[in-house]
Amino acid sequence: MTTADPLVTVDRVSKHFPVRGGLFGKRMLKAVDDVSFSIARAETLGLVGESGSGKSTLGRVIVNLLPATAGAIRLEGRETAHLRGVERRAFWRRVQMVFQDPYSSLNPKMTVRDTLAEPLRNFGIARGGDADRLIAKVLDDCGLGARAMTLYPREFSGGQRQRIGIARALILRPDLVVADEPVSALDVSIQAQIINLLQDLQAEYRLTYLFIAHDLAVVRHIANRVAVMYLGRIVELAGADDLYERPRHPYTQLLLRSIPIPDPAREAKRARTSISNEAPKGASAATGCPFAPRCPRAELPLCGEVAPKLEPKQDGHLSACHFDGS
Amino acid sequence: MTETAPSRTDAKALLAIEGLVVEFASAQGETFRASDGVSLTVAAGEVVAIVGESGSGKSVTARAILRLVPHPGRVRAGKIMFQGRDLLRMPREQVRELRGRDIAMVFQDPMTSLNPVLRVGAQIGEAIALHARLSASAIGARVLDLLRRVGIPATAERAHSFPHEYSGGMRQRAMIAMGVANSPALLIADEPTTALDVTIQDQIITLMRDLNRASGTAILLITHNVALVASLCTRVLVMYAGRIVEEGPTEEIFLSPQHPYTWSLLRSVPRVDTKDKKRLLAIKGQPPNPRDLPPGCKFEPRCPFAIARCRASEPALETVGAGHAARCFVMMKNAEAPA
Repeated sequence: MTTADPLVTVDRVSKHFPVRGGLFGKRMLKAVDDVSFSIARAETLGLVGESGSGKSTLGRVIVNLLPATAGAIRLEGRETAHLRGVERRAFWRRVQMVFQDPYSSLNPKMTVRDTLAEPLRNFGIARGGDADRLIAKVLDDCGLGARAMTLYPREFSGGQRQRIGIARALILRPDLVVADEPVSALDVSIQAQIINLLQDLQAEYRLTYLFIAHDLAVVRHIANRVAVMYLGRIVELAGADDLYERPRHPYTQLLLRSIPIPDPAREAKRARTSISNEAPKGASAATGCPFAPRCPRAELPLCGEVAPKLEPKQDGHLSACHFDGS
Repeated sequence: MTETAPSRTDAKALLAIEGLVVEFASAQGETFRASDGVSLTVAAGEVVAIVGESGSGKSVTARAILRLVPHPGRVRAGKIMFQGRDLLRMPREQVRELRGRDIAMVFQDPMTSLNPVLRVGAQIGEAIALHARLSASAIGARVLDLLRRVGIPATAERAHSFPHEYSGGMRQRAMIAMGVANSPALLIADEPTTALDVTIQDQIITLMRDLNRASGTAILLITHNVALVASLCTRVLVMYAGRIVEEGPTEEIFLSPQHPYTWSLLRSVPRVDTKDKKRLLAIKGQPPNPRDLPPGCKFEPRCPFAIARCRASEPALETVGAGHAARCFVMMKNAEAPA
């Protein structure tokens, strides 16, 4: 799918991991399997899925922390895997990541100043007093006082640590930020602070976000478009409100039916699912639709043998289902 | 300051906690109260939630019921009446007998609560054999029946699996099967779905609701997730800094919360069911540090409605409606919502 002025394009990307087991000792886990989409400049694309869907792996492939097995990631049309020298360094500067656990992703022996000064020095952007001015500015933008500079990560609460994690991602003025579950480890009252902060920063720094999360309510709130992943494949992609109000794919429908709503009156009326099957552990079926084993609409042999393509339907949704009429 | 909460002990209550104080001492000899004067009741067959963030004391309160307060915590005061007997003054062996038979507890992480080297069926069988004198074959049949009731597929085969061969959702269901093996009167569920995917969470919620309806098992749900509360519980207790700051019927708490903390909490979660992209209401500051609490109302430093009095003294839990009480000098019905 193409968007106007795409900043980043993911083109038929796969990431396979070898796993042990099986008769011949080796099998491939298709953590990401033939995924394509693009993200427009200043857009937020939400990527949702349950554990094992491959959403985090895909995020890491996009920022080049993991090499893709097949396919290409393009930043403004330039394939990122083959960048060398200056261009490669520029890529590392323009694409940054925010992680779920800000504690394990910050060096406990470095002060906040050192943590933020390191990338400035590595990229030859600023040192000394110049660096301090940039650091003070980004800390201020992230809701931390300049006093934070001299402190260590352990001296901060979870929410403040995540602010440091965000400041570190922004100090190089990136274009794309891949945020992998940035609020799921935080207390409810702190989640709202960080979500608001990410939205403010997007406006101020004109950031493009890939927002990876399992919390569908958070994603609806923050994303312009949403992609739903299931066992390595994108099964539906649409505008956020379209997707939540008119989910097309049986898996998206199941997901949305499963979320409790913080409203007792609506909860009392809500139809409950009784599907008692769950995602098979590990890899998807060799062929066929990954959701077929759980799908109420699946028909054999078609769904078991032929993987449906992610195709545009008449309402503009992309959906990968044989029985989701166009 | 030990506060005597208004005694709301209900003669019919299955569980009645009165003035529970749980204290922790650090190596430096400082003490703090994780639970400070908590009183609550759960009626037979009722589903009650304790909602709170980290450090609110919700889990410690729940663990105190079964005398499972982690070291170095100690219960300093209070009564925990269960079916008319005080669990805190009962000999340990008697509490152990009650555990699993009359009161069961399910924790967040089923992997650490299941024995990794015992087959799941054997563990559930053990839980049954502890409290009932039954033949091996009768126990075996009961295990299969329980696994079937919690929706484990291919029960005969699955009973022989080890915990690591189960998925996270199946492990939690096995834990619930073990918990309800002896048809307890009360199930305490501490963040039972927090580690699970939403589709699995939905199954666990449905399972708990069915258990409550079919067997009349009362449930005390400990959670940070307000949506879960709306979905499962008839009554809610909101905890903050070791205290109950508001309690009432679920509908009323959601429609007309009176404590500013409850009010703010409900507005700080994004809704999956609305198009509204209004900025979220963020509660300023950090969750309370039980070692360093303000002298007056514990929520005062973060409260957008606080008045001078809130800094000086702590409000008591006051009745605001039928079964509805809140610990606030201002109360939301008198407050002007900030712009």
